[in-house]
Amino acid sequence: MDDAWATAIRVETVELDASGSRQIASRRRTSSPLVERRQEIEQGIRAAVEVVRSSLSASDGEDSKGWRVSSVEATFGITLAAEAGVVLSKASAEATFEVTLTVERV
Amino acid sequence: MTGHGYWVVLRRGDVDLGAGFLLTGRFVVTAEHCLRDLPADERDVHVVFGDGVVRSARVQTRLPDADLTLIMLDDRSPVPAPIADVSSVDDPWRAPCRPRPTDPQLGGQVVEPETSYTCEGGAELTALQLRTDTVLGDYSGYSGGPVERIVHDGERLIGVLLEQYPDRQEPDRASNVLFAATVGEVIDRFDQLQSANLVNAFREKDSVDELISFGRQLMEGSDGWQGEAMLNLDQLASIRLHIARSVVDGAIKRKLA
Repeated sequence: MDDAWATAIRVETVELDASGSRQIASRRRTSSPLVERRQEIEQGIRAAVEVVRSSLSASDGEDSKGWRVSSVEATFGITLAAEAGVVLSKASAEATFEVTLTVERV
Repeated sequence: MTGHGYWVVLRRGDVDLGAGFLLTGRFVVTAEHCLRDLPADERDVHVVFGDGVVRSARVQTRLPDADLTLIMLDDRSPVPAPIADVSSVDDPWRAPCRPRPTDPQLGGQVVEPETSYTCEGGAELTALQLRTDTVLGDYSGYSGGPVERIVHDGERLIGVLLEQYPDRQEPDRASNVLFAATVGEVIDRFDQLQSANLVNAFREKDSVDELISFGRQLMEGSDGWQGEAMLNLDQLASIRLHIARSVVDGAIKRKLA
């Protein structure tokens, strides 16, 4: 990815701490440069794949054998920033990225 | 923010932080969480009045636990401070400060005029529980503004808007229940606003003559407070009554001792 473009792309972020949900100051959408969060996104997808793999291998019977993750599909929204660049924004009401894993028998 | 009055917008640089309002000619009150983007060591803010006048101010005291902040204007504002009051059950109320001209004004009825309420900051506040007829599902942008009781000859300040209560079945959506710290709670939280601290000095006077002399000094000094726009007439009358009571009570106790 071109460096200039990489820094112009931001990803929408949310506060994990639930505090403040009753407080009623103006809400602001927060974002971070994608390059700063890219590693975390990749780690998140790898961890999700690993969870699927291990749950398949942990199941009983013949059906647990011979499965693999054949594709990973990510869905996200794009918002144009007012000044410059784009923001990878929410794909659904809750998530910025929706990741769909497809598993198939080898 | 819309309309002209004693309510204001607090601004840092080009960013609007939130609403607030004049409590006296020098002091502005807001919800602490409106200043969450203001670093703790940064005190300079701008106060924007409804007529567009911008005044410089400094943050005096931040109370994250009570979710209240006191800000002092560099120069006294000529805008009249509101008349503070208490409310009763079913009093009609309104919040005159709106985030944007396209937003509706909030109003409704007082459900509880003085309820004990633990705010998100963790402190237990004496709060107004308010029912709003303006059902929005989310009241973001309204906090820090004044809550007024509507009376036949105008309005009276009764609190500062702080929180909404979520709908229990749809937690992402607010119910029509709002909470505001009472004016009494605000005054109690800030030393700068307490007359009680001043008149506690009565207890240190040994003789009745000293007590009366001290009371007289305070009464004379208080003449200038309203002129300097530190207090409005109601607040001044309340403090003078407190001084007089303290002198009388103190004198009786000392005579009996």
